[in-house]
Amino acid sequence: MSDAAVAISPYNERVIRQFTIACLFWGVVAFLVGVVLALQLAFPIFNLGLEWTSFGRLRPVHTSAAIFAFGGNALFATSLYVVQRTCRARLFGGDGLAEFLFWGYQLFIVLAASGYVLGITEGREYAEPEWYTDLWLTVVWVVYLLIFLGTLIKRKEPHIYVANWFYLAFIVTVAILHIGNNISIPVSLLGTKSYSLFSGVQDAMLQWWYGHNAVGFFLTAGFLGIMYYFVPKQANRPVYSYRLSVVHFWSLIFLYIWAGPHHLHYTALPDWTQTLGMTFSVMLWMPSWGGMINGLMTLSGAWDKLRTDPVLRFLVTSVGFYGMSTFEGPVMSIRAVNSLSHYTDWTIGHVHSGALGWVAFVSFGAMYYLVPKLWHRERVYSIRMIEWHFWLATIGIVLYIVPMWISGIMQGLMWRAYDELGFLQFSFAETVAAMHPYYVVRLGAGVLFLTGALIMVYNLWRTARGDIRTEAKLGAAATATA
Amino acid sequence: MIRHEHFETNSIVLLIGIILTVAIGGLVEIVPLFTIGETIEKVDGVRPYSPLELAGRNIYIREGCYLCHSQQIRPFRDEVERYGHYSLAAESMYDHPFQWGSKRTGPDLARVGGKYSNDWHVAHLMDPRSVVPESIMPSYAFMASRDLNFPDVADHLKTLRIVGVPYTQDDIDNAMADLKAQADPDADTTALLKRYPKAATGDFDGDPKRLTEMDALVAYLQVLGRMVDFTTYRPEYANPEPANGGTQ
Amino acid sequence: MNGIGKWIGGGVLSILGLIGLGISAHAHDLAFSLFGMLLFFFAIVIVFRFITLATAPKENL
Repeated sequence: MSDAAVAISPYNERVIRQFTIACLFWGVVAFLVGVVLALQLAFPIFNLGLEWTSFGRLRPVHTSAAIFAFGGNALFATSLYVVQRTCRARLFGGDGLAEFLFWGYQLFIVLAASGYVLGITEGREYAEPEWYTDLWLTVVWVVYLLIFLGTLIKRKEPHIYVANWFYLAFIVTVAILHIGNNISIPVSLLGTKSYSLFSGVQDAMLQWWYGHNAVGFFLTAGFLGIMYYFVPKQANRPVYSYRLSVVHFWSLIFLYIWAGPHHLHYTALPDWTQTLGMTFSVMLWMPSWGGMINGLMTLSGAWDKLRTDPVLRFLVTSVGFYGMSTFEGPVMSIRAVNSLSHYTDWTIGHVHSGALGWVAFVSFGAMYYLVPKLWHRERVYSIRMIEWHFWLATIGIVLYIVPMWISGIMQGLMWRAYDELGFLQFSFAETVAAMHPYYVVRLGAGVLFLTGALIMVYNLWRTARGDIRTEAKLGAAATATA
Repeated sequence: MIRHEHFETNSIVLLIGIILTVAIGGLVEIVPLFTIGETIEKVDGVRPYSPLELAGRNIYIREGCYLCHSQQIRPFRDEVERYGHYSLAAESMYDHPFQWGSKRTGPDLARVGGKYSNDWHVAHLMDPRSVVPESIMPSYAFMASRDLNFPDVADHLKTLRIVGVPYTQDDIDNAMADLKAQADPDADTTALLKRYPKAATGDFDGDPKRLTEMDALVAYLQVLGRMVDFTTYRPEYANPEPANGGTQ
Repeated sequence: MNGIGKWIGGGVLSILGLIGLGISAHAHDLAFSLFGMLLFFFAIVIVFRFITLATAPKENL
């Protein structure tokens, strides 16, 4: 890590290395727990009859590990890397504060995950941590905002680079969402249990104002920040359109907030709220595709690099999946479509096309870019292994999404099916049985995705050590460069 | 005139611009739900959970049951036929937190109360596939052998009162007694039923001598959807009064 | 954090660690006790890291 021959960097790279390692570690944990869950849904015996390993206790471990541990550490690593370089300023608050941020966030993860397994949960999706863990996260998050904003303020570059707008929007909005959705009164200041301030329909609206914008700001705005730095850097091309970035940034962050009610169509939430949610969700398609276009068109004049650069391929494919998910989402927000899709596996398929296709792929691209730079190595240990990772993961994603589309739409249709005599055609149990083959395929998909990630971890570990693998270059027949 | 460069050359201006932009949607969609009275139309019968039902509800949340079971019936013909009357806002007004759910790996439970016997629930929770062979639900057998640990039940009711659930002082004073009486087949439950009408009483888990987590969870499941009497619904009275003029 | 900041930071975190120990001792349930212990160990790790950073020779961090 401290190579004597290395020049002193003006930036804090240690904390970026720490966050990078954490991202990779928690990524494997998240995918592994995901595979366990898929296994349990296909073969319930794997719940083991133990309270700590039941699906209900493990599911939040998976979602929190994927969003906050894997995604969160990726955002920390990249945002702190990008803000320093685009501001030409070292992190505000010094090395000590950055150190606190790193360990403080890992503590949050451990508190949350250990809690879930023990049954400590607030029962709100993606906001399961109880009050004391929420308070701790608030402290850590304020420190994050201070460091990021402080670095922006002390920048030597007058113009704030576009990636930083997205990162700042992510940090600040997540803070607002977190506080808004986690107001609860503990039964005792020396105990874990608390009760939410709000209830029923108002609580539902608050939860999905939060839940959808956890996706919109944590998983979208933040990761668009990653896209806006790493795609142009890896492609060695400028971002396609500055004007487009301005327009889609402001419209995205404005429109996203309204989309929450599409999680509550045909529930006891008032019609006017549902209609607002639907309309704004459909409009949201435009700024989302604005981002996709900006990312993809940055490759303009450099498309041939996709043949030989699998890192770029991860990044560009992620933008493609982003576009797909941000089309599917608005479609599913339409009440008529939602009347079929709500409560089904289609929602799960949609989530994973975004989480695996967009979030994970852009993170993988960023990790492959960062590790050689941070450990001052000439290049990644093996380019071919990145290829293998790419194909395993992509096939995994397709084998995830397609079965979920089929099972989701099928169960939606089965639930509403009537026979010729006018009776409901299927018992609920029959619809469960019909899901089984798709759950098995999905399990296979998860195994592929996890395997790809393990290859990545091995590859990056060898990279950090400074090893280079002798291998044939990609696209060697046509070009001389890899 | 607002020029975008102002936001891109001054980080505080950018910060404030972001905060103002993201605040609007939330305010427009959330605030009126508290100020518009018709958001939660008053419905007779809806009442706070009894201590035992609350204990069961906390177990339901702890085990993540909402991840596979919804509690919100939509106004569709097939859904109403399969599960019962579509869910009313008032029915979850005392649910801190709401548990409407977002996935049906298992069936909706909003009106499961009274549909199955206590014995069925116990058998199902012990080993779901013994009563539903196609089920992929985990087994919760450990609940039957674990005594219910709820010594601070009165404090829980007090906390819920702080967040707006109308528990009376009488309810709080009798919390522990009610907790024990509801699952005791030999207890006098008149006072309990006066405080919590339509609560299911008697032994739930097949072991009248022990108050277990199984008792609590089944007591909770057996009250779901039972509070409101839909047989008294009169479509002519279709403009009900709002609940207390707006705020909870 | 330069100069006095390191001392204040270290001091605050040490107090946090002691609070964690207190929480753990008085907790009503096992999970909250675990929370207190984790806070305590976190404080130890962080103060150790602060000391390491403060005493490290000037080099690429």
